[in-house]
Amino acid sequence: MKQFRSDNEIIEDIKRAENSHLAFRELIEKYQQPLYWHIRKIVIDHDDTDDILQNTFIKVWKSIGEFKQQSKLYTWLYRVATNESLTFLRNKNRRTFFNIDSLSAEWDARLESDPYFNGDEAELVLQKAILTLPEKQRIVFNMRYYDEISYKDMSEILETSEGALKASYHHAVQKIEKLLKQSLNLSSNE
Amino acid sequence: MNSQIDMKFESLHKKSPFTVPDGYFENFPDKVMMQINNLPEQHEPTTPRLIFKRQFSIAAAFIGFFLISYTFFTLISRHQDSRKMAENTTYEEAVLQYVNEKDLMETMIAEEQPMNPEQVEDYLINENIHESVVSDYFNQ
Repeated sequence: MKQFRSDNEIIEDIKRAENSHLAFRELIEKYQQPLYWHIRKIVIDHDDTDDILQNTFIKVWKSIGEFKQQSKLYTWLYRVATNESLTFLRNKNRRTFFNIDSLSAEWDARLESDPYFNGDEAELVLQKAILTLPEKQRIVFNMRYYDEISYKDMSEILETSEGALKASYHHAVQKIEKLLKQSLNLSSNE
Repeated sequence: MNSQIDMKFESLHKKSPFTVPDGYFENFPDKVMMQINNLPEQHEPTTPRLIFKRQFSIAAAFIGFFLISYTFFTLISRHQDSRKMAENTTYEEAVLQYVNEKDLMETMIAEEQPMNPEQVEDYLINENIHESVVSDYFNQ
């Protein structure tokens, strides 16, 4: 596994004109995977994720000069990626004329037909349950459950209080539990 | 959480069910760097000429504002002065401010007694008025 330098060292090099491109490439290699999976869990589709991830890094490149190293680099990167993903979803929702039922059905269909979905039946049920959550709650759930990001860091990324995030995650778990129970009951009755 | 669901979650082991095409992450940095290399250079105009132009514009704006304010307040003050004067002045005083008393007298005399020079001379002689009195009057 490739060893990467610290974020501060990479940032300093990016800000120096002579090494900027090489250093930025190192930044991409360091963060492409965590950011990819974060975006992928939001938008589901691989091609959409690819577009959003590229846009994220382009945006980061354009505004890296403004990045103040008071906050962590990775929380800033996650914030840019999250905002890009939410913008994508909002534009997509506008195109479906805010029809929530058709959106939900679309997500299910996407999951089931996704060539890059390798989960079994249980994982499909779980993903469908997660997709029923409102966008922001879904992001909170994924970041806490899958990425195990602390509430403190999540608060910086999503610009929401830790208390609100904890409440959101708690409610997300309750909703998913309920849906899984219903699914289990259905499958046990078959 | 319900134990059955717990087991389900345990078996899932927080493993993401999503995958990527082969070689995706190896090729991704090249894709992004190619886009970055094709970005237009951003120009930051900070030439002294432009800085001067900016300062000049700000100064001109202040001067313009000052001139407008000065004109405005001067007009208001004159208007107030005129009103004050009108309140304290009689009609005759107002007219006399614009008319020379001597000219006014001459006009009144000319209108009331239109005479030719010979008539004037006769009048002066008949009234025993020396011409020096007349010339003194007109020289005031």
